[in-house]
Amino acid sequence: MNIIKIKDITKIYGKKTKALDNVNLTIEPNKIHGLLGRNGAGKTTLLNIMTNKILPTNGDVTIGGETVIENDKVLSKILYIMVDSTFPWKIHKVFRRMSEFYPEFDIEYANSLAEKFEINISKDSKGMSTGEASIFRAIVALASNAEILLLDEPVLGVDPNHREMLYKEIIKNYSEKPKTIIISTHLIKEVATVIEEVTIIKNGEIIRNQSVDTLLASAYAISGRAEDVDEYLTNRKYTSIEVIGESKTVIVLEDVKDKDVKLASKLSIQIGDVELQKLCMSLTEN
Amino acid sequence: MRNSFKIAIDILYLNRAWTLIGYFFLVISPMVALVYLDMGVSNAYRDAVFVVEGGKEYFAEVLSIWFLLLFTFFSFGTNIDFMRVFNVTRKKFFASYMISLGILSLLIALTQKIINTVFASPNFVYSMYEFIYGDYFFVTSVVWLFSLLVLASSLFCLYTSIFSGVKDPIVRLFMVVPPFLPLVLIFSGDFSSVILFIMQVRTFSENRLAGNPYLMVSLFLISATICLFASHSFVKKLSIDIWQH
Amino acid sequence: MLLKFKDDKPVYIQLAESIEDDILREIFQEDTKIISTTEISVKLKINPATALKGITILVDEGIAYKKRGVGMFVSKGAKNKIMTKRKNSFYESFIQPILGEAEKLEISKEEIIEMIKGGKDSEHN
Repeated sequence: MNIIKIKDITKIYGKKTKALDNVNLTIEPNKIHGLLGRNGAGKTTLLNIMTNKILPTNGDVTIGGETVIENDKVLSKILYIMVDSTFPWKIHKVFRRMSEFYPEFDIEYANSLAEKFEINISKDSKGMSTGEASIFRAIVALASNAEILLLDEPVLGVDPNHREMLYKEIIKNYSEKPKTIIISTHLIKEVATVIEEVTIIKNGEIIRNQSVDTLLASAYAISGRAEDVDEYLTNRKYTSIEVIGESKTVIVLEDVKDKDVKLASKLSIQIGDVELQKLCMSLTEN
Repeated sequence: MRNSFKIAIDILYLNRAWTLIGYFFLVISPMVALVYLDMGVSNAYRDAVFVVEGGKEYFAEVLSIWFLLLFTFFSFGTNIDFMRVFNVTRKKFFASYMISLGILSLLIALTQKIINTVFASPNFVYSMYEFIYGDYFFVTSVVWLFSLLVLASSLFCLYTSIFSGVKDPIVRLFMVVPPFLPLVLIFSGDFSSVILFIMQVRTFSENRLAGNPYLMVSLFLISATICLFASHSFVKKLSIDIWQH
Repeated sequence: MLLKFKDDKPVYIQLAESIEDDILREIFQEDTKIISTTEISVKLKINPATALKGITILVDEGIAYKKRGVGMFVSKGAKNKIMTKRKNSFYESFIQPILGEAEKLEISKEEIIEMIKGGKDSEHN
């Protein structure tokens, strides 16, 4: 099928700058994946390597067993438009050109989306604002009917109303025509409910790659008096300590067991879920 | 997946503005000048545009230089954008690029033939082939032009790939100079020296090959092919983020 | 149905509970179609797999069933099932927290009962 396998990918710029360090990843088809990480973590570099725009220093990327490197046939399954791309044509013309490269491109759908998002298709695609360009890229991606969509910061510069609309349109499109979608972003809170799988990248390395549910179940937050919390934390993995006066809040990097609940209750410590953004932030802290 | 021939047309279409400008200044305007202006003025204009030297005019070479610039420097950014946006592999783009150069050679040779037919005066336009054997051999003309375009474009690709691999800014500064010089000559008006240099290369090789035009053309074609393969292996490593790194 | 999800419980559980609420309030009547997973996921901006997970809980508990090719329907007796389920967990979910909070504020059980009987006015008595 269209399983994307990223094997031992390393990208070194110059002599020292390691943008990606031995990245190994399997991306299951027909799921919405989040590629999360801070700015400069290596998300865009990974996307570029996955689509043959940049060549890796080491390693290979395969889709359905075939390499992506210099492979037209396999590359026609993916659509990825880099953030600062320019098209020297008017928008309706870009749609037509796209259909020449992606034969399943649905021009009518693209036009209806453009109308929905108030984008004027007779406008020059060069003169668009950042937000309009983001929406435009998303429209092209959704209308392409490609099997794999890579969306890099899809809501960059987009106003809040259109942001909601955009996420909903992505979900609707995915629901009606299942495909692999990878959303790369540092805006975790907004995308938390949209994604099913999550990959967290930190300083060019993959630190987590699992379903959102599994990731969230692997940690919890505790809060209470500092001494009680410290006692609870003995022999546990934790991160992200916040102290306000006498009270301390910590994220524990384990899954909750019954005995933990009992201990917390005994020590008058509150236990709660961690939300995805908070967990990602603490995991990607230096 | 669009085939290479169609992408070649895309490349030509992408650069249509420059093509039209080239044709306007180098083909249409001299003709218009010839028809509507005073003989002296139109002759002077024609001489300036077609680099007259010793009574011979180098129309095809002039047009080739223009298209060379067009398909190397002027179109580089557009071409990279095109590759990025439509996910075209480097090797496919390279193949399409060569096809478009082939189409261009045909175009130039055709234009020359039309001009020769329309203005059948032997003093109006000479091509080097007329000079060689007095007749206008269309196919060899296309082959020569194609080799010239491919040779120069491959050198450009090769050069760019090496340039992008060099990080040291001082080395890069030195590397900019050699290709920069002919450009400066062309734009500062010493266009003729560039054309004459090409002709000197031709004359030199002709002398060495005892005036055998077919051998010369074959040699140019072979060297163009070698250059092509060399640059292709370098282009394969070209990063689309060439301007950023 | 819920439009905003809180951080305290997994989204699919909140979704299931929200649909249960709507069944209790008879917004979704028995043997009628519940809103589809696509509609749920688009309206609430959640992944369709999450929506499906929430609906699956209801199916597993016999509160909803799937009609092939048509969609998800409210089971007969769903309202009663939900009421029974929630009655059983009423003490744990609602009473215990009240007792815990009351203990913190040193409010006696009798005072609580008075409050329940007389509403807010009993405080001023």
